Amino acid sequence: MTGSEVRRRLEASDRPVIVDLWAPWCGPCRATAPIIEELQHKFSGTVDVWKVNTDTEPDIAASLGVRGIPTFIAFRRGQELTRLVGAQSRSRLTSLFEQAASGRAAAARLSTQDRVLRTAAGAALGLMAWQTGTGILYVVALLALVSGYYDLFPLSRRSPSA
Amino acid sequence: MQFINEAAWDRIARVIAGIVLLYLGWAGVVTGTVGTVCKYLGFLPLVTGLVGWCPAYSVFRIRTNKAQ
Repeated sequence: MTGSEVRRRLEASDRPVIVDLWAPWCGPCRATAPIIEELQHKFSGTVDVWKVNTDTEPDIAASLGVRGIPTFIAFRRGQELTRLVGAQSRSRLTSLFEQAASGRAAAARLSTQDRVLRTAAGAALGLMAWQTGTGILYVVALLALVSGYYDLFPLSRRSPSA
Repeated sequence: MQFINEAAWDRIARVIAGIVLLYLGWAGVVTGTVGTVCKYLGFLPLVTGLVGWCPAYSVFRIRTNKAQ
């Protein structure tokens, strides 16, 4: 299949497509493969996954502007929504599939690192506020704690675009 | 996310520095003008560390994390 044929098929596809560009010798590709398989099963009937071996089909990779692997590109009605390059966490790949399925921007998801940092900072500031009796530090502590979990609150989720 | 320009170690260091400065100022460990500076200057590294974005880095096109 050539690059232009892939583009035609992407535009003709009724369902959103995640193009997974990989190679047999690519370690991160192999590491991510089980997650992609799981998500493919979970989003079966909603999002299609096309796996492209960049060794056997370099034209397709070149036509999609892929320079590194693994690369995951989400398409909807032939239009590229977003792409991820390199090994990805389960949460980022899940966001990619959700974005492809819904067509809207993925809901912001904080990383574990962010949550831990903000929770620890909030706790330290809270303790400091309690020791010093400083009101502003209570406020900052609360803000730090809330900022670590805001993406889990329903209010933070945008309504689907038309 | 592209706007984050600080690596993990950078963010942790900023948060710790901010908390230390705030403690020095608000707990009265350091008093006077220096104490007042610590009280308010401490918010700068704390906030930039929690957010992951440094405006000064942005101006000088510096990033301590790997570009996405």
